[in-house]
Amino acid sequence: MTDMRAEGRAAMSDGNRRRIDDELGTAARGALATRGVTKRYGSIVAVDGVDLDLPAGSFFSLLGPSGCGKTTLLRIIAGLEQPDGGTIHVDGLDITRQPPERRPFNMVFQRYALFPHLSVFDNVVFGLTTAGSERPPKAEARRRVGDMLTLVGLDGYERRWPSQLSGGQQQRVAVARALIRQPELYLFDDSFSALDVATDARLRHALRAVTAAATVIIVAQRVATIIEADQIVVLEDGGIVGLGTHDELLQTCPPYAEIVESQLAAEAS
Amino acid sequence: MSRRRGIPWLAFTCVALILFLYAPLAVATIYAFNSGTRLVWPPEGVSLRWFGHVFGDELFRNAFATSMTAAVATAVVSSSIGTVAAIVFTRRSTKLARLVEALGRLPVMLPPLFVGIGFVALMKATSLAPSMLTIVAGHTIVVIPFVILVVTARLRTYEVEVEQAARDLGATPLQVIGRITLPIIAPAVFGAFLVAFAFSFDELLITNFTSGTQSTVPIYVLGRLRRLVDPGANAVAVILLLIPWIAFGVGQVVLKRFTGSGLSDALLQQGR
Repeated sequence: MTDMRAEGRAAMSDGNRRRIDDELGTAARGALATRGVTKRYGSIVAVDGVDLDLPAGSFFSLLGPSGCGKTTLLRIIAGLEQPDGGTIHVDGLDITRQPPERRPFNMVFQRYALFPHLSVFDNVVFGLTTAGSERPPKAEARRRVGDMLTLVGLDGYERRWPSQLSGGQQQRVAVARALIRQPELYLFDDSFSALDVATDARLRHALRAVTAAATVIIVAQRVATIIEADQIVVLEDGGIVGLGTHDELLQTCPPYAEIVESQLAAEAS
Repeated sequence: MSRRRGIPWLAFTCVALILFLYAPLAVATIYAFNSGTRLVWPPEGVSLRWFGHVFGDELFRNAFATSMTAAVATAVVSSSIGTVAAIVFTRRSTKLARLVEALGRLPVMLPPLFVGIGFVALMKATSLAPSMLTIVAGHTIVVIPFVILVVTARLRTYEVEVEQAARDLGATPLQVIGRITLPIIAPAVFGAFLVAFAFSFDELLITNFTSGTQSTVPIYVLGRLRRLVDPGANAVAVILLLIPWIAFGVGQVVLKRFTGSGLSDALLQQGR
């Protein structure tokens, strides 16, 4: 863990390093609690009365087969979908009806959702220029964009257009764009799937330092991406069928054990 | 064997189609530069005399100014209203929005004659005198559905997650429209603007009912051709042909410079 943080810190400017260190020194924020969160599309129940408790600064993961409601749950937490029932609290405050721009979260979308008409620099700096942002001076914003691009391994890509990047590079820009705002809670929706295994591991290591003061929820298909999570939630048909660490779930949650076994078998073959 | 027999027919069909489409344009363009007064083949020489003749006519200059004003006003009004309507229709999925969208597209199916007669009735009922306002209103009614169609197509072909990502990054709904939606759909809006401009500049039937004593370029040409087979009309036809193309070219350059994609990109995206 110390090595990982050192790697992430080394990629940052002094200002950013101080800010992260300051945050690490104070109590982490971003404790999330959901109660009975439900979402229906006609007769289909996408999310079925989900109760979650995420302590501030925890690393949480959602796992399950396609269509089990992972992305819908993440979008409800982000405020991009309104639940049909239930509540969402952050640090004790009810944010169920708050619009996404007023929530202290940032999401990395599964299909990147980069702004096609803006350069890589403008995509990443966007979150520092909106109404709900701190709007730092230009020089500071430029330095922070540089830090984030260094962190995701895209130094020198500032002037490229999204259409000039590979899928993996676009995904890394999307990650940098979410990281730059340093929110209380990060939502990663299968955000490492387009990366090769080595880049995936390297990026996750580097992210640990930047996201250490925040709560992180990751939706992932690869077990390797979530194996270190403090808690893993296994979803099926919109409901929770397993909750615990990797080792606990291997013992107590047959659907999770099945997913792990099938991935290990696929890797072995 | 059968493929070999098919090739001459295919070639013949293609050539015939091209001739059918472009022969009238080619003939009008050639005669526009004819130095003689008679429309004989081959043309008597090359000259710009008919362009000078047309621009020297005060009636033409007035008609040209009226047409330009009406076309620009129609394009501005219809592309503004049509774009706002398209954003509402694509981002609000209420029953009312769907109903208004269907009603907004209806004028495409209305015969222009009906629209013209309807306008005359409306002008009588409201004691509204024919003016630039009635010309623009008549053109706008017919052209707005085209704007909605073009802009809606663009709005539905890019991922709405891009707008959601902007909200997630702290942008208000208005900032999303200004910084994300409008720049992305700008080529389509500009394309719709040009369609509206070209339609209005060329429109004859509705204008006949709504213009009163004012003359537009199509009305001017029709008036001249009623009296005689006039080589000057060919010059006017070439001007009518060139104006939308110049606008298209300027639009292409401007959009490439400011948005990174041109009108041709927008048209391709609409076809996806």
